[in-house]
Amino acid sequence: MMTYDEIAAWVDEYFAAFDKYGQDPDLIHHMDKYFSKDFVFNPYIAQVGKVAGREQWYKVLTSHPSGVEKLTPEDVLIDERRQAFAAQIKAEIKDRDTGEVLVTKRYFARYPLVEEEGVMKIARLDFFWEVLPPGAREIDDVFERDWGRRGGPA
Amino acid sequence: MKPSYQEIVQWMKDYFATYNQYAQDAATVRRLDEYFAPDLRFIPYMYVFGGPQAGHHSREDFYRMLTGHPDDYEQFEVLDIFVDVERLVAVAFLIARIYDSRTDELLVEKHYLPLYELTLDERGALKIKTIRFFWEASPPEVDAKYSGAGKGN
Repeated sequence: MMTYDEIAAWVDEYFAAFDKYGQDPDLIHHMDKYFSKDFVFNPYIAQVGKVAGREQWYKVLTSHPSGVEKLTPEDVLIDERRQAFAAQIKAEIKDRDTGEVLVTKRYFARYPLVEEEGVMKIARLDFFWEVLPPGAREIDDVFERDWGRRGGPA
Repeated sequence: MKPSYQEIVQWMKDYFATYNQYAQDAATVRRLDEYFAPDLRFIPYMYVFGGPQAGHHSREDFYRMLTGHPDDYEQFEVLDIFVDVERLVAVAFLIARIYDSRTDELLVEKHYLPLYELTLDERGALKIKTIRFFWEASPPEVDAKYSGAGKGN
């Protein structure tokens, strides 16, 4: 169990770690500190499937080397009693080579935590995102540049 | 005095029950005055309501949207409520169902994840000051069934 202030500090650490390690196959296991083994990615987005298991999740995170996802938490709320947090996040998808921002949109997600080997980790990511108008450039339009070569995110 | 965690959870549950019963009828929508601050801000993170730059800046405008789609009505089922008691913020995980007003046929069902910034009014009563509204991303043909969307929303 963590206190309110401990969760707040942990969330800051988590987003900083995601920024450094979360999309690099050589470094992704630094995120073991934050994601539980049985982690579930639970997206409420048509055509985007649930991902069960940390290793599968890492395959998704590292599946788009030509596009980098920069996450900036704009608001974090902490439910200390439930050991959970929710975050509104500004997501910028950049071209890795040029640094050009290709897509900007907001995410809103809730993260229930679970104790694993004596420390709290993310059990599940219930994930919603801003719905852009039809025809707007979307995140998958960027990531599919890589997925097209392998037939899918994982 | 700040309300407790459990008081906020119960207040949110009461809000949703009141919403289901009164919010979409022009004759009864003012029952929601108990829950919304007069300067309520509604921020929709979806294009069908104009995106986050649009939405509403007052309770009155919000009521016009809520009562502006008489052909159908929306009912919420509350699945879960998170509360940040320090900051007076709640997040509700909901299933919303839209029904045809004439036949009660289910037209749309989707999940919502709205965030509610709360405040205490001059009498110390809780009010919703801002709603940041996210919903399940469905294909455009599903969202097109929201008859309230696009009517000055």
